[in-house]
Amino acid sequence: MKHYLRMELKRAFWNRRLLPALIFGFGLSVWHCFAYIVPLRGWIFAGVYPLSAYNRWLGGEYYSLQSTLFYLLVPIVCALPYGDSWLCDCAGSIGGQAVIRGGKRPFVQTKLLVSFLTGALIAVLPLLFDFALTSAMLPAIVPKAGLGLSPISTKSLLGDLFYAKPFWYVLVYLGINGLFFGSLNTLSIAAGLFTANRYMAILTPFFCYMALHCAGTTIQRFELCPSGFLRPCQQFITTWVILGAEVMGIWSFGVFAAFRYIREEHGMR
Amino acid sequence: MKYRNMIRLILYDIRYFFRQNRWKWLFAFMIHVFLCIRTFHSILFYAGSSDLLSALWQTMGGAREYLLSSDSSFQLPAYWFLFHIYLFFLIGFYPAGELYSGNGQALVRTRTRAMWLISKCISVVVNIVLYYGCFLLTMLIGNLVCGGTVIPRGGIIGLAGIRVAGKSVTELLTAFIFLPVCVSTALGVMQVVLSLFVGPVLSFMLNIAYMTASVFWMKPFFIGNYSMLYRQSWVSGNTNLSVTGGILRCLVLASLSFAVGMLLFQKKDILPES
Repeated sequence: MKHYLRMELKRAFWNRRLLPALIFGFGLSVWHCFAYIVPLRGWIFAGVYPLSAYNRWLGGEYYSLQSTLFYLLVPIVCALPYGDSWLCDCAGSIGGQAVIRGGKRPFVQTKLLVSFLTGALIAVLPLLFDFALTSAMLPAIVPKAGLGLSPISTKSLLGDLFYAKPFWYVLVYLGINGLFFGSLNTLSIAAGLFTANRYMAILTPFFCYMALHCAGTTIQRFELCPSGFLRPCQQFITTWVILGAEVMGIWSFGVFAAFRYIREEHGMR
Repeated sequence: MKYRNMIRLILYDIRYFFRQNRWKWLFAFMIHVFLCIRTFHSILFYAGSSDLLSALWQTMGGAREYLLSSDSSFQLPAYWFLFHIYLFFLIGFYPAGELYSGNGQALVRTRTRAMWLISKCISVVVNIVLYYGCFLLTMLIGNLVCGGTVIPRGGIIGLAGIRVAGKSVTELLTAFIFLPVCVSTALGVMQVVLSLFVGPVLSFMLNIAYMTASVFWMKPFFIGNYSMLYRQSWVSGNTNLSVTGGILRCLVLASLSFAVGMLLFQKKDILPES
């Protein structure tokens, strides 16, 4: 297991597709900073109530194109470096060899774990970078609930924490983002059960993400839409039960599909 | 001889396009049925009576101009976005996949790269037209089931409050169907060309980003604006987004994408990476 893990981590984090995946997030963050944060710096000395970094960073607002693009495309970007590795391994000789030498269970567990880690890091790192960049330019004033300057209400998920300890709120919310996008990324492993097309495997997390969005907007239950509730500014407000159910659902399907994957011709039994 | 080969190649591509994408086509049909049920349900619920143009408006209408402010919320028009993004997913993967499948046998047998690329572009256009045709047919059947007219009574699209009375059938067909088909074709050709160089996933992502930017910025450079009825000049009053201008821009983009693709594809190393 340790050997697999070391090998797979190296494959996931030392490949040429990781760079465009990270450039996407960091590029959007820098673009967002120049488009929306730099022009705001003049406000700081203008004598008006200063705008807080907590409400202006990439995850803290839902009016910009960059924020929308990030939360729309991040499932594809997360799956870019490692999403098709399962299908490539199983179609080649690595999968069969790994199963013969060490058993299927450690192989599948490693794949799921590394897939989760890749998704979580690619989603969270640009957001952390953006928060740091915004905080370097705007004051991190603690938001006041009565002023109406923040899109988050006290009834939102962790709303009380946002107004009491906003920095912890941001960290916890980024953790939720990492958990969700990491879990979603494991669906690229699960995709092997119903497709042999590696492009389809990369896009499977995105389609599940969009399916949840479409279902939520169609039945007017916006709390189901991860593209809205995963934003730290909470475009749609969800509950812990729904969040937990969605993560559990994704994990259950991912694990079930990965273990059910049998291809005699690929050496996978 | 050359002509006959070309026709055979095009027929082969169209046939294999369908064979490889039969599940995607089934899902496309399901999406059309879903859009049909949703739109007629909401029209009957809010307006009482249905008609074809109002139903089409629900999907092809898109969104009004987005006005950026610190308290605005940017949201994508769900049905319009679903309809177009699924189309790009449907068409974007076949050409790149076919280039490397069977060690590029299809390309070797074609003899010229130009013919291969032309054939791929034609099969993509055929698929786009059929996608719209399937959607239109589903909507027509839905309208027939609901007992609606084609043009709204009173000449106003009820839910949007847009006046269509006085418009000729040609004008309406151009605005509702022909221009969106042109936009999809231009972007489809661009996606096919891009997919050969940057891969199908990245080209699909770029198209999604381009369509999202079209919703954000109401500018003629983003030709996705022309596929949204709310943004066309006869509705929005923005003279930069006229129907004729849109068709011309689509033609230019499609020709440019094709020409650049043809030039670059001649020099492309087609051996798959190890």
